[in-house]
Amino acid sequence: MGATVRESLNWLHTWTGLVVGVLLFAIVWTGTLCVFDREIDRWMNPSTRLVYNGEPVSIDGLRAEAEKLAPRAAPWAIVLPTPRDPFLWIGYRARTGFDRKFFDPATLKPVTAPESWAGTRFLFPFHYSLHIKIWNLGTWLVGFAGAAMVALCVSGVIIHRKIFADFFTLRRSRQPQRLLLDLHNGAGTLGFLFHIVMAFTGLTILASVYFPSGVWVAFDGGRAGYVRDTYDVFSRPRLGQPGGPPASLDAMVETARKEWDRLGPGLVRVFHDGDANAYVEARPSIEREVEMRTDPIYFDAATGAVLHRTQIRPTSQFQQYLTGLHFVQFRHWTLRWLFFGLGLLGCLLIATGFLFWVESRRKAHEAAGRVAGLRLVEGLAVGSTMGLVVATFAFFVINRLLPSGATWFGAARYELEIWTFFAVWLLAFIHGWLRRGSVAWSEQCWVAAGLAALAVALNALTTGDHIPRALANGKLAVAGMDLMLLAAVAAAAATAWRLHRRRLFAAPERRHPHHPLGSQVP
Amino acid sequence: MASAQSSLRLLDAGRIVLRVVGIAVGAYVASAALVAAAVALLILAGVDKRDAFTVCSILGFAVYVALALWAAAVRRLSVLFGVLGLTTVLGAALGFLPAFVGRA
Repeated sequence: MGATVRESLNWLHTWTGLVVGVLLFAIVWTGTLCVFDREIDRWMNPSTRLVYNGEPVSIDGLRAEAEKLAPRAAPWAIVLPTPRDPFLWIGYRARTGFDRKFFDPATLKPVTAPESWAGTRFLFPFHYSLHIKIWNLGTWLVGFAGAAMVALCVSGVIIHRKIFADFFTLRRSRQPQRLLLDLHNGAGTLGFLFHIVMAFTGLTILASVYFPSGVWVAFDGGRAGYVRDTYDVFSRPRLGQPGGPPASLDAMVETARKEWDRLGPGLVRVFHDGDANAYVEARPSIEREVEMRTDPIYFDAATGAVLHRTQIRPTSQFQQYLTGLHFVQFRHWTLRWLFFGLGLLGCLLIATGFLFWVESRRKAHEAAGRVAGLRLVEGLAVGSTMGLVVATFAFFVINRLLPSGATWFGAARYELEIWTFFAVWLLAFIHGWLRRGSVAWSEQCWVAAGLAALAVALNALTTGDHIPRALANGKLAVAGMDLMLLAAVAAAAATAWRLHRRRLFAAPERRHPHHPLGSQVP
Repeated sequence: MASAQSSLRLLDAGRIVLRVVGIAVGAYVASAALVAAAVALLILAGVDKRDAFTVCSILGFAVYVALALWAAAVRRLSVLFGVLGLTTVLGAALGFLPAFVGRA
């Protein structure tokens, strides 16, 4: 689209960034939050703020409970605790659909079920599917945005002649577009490897969805065939005859632990419970390795003998390594914080890209009287970036305001939280279009700062877990979340204040570019 | 004069739309066909089908991005759609023909 390859790629970078930017910011922001998805869960679901030190837990005591809950025909599972998910739960198929019951790992006493979808059930699925399930459209949109991110990273490098010099350049000029471009280039170069690796590994997780052509060629039965063959899934049919007394689940876990080279258990699932062909699947916990391995071992439920040890190909192990790198569920706090920081840098990269698009065109478009497109993008930029941040903080605030068991027009408490999130996000777009430019930015920054501060105050008021108390009780997730919210208050307020001051001291003609009296306005 | 200008503008807009379709859709379809062909050829060469699919699908994303960048940079639209179309047809034929012949 240009005379040279560089010009063409500049065109591609500019317009892909603009069109996909809205989507990309939503994906990168929620992905960044999901680095701490379990911590967000603890904060938003106070009944699960337990402390678990990693001691092995006996699960035979939960068998009677599980058999009471689950109808015999359907499989049920026990998911074991980790320090980040400090509770056990039984997952089963109830009459109303999939359900879960929670237990304290120290006492095996029931814990009140979490009411919010919080990080793992709202933000995480939003990150990879935007919660658009029709025709799998959300997953495909996210995939397209991921590929666009890789293309943006590559084209971004090609269009910069002086990538090394740009890395060390930050011109705090009065011209906003120069500062924005330097910030965009700096964030892009500093986080380049991380952003391209995250975009690429995000795609490879769902390679079998995005390349159905290869699945059709290689496997019978489409994607189900791919999963069965690649992950060596074991199953055997129900016999329809009563089985013997069940063997100890703890003993099976112990056998599996030796097979897994001392990895702890993550999940134990019972199929055809009570039948002569009943069997048990045990999977390891994934928090000690990067590779997100499923690695199940199957046991006969009555004898406890190993029926099948899953073997997967080294190529699939490599893919699971890429998946683990993206999911960052392994226990490594330094890396987790690094991922979080680089994720925020990705948000800055996208936001400054947006703003640079607006600022670099402002003068020419205003002079030519073509402001409609400029206004549209201006509002889009505010709503899709700062508006999403505001919506996220509103999601936290409403979580602490709604009473337990709240319903409204048939919607459950978790749904009300989600509707609040989307409603506030929509309002932020409208506000962005009505107030425009830096006024919209600074007002939304003030709102974000206010909401984040309110969330911290409400957490202390409604749960009593203020920062010193949470720290003293070992509830690091809660204290960490509060501290990050306070950091967000400081960052948003500082940004709002700077924008306010810049408007105050800006040249008169820039203050009122559209005022009928123009520069005569004092 | 004005109508000539507006039809010129319409032509330009049409070219941009075609270019975008080439980048977003054409490059993807061609890369998916190449993945199918590579998987089929590797299986024919005796590679395990799971290895063939995993490796080719992972590389397929890099191929898509490379084709998309090329589709943005190539001068002529006719070259863009010629190459992508040919790649798609050849890739799909290589990928799916053995299966159809085998099943017939």
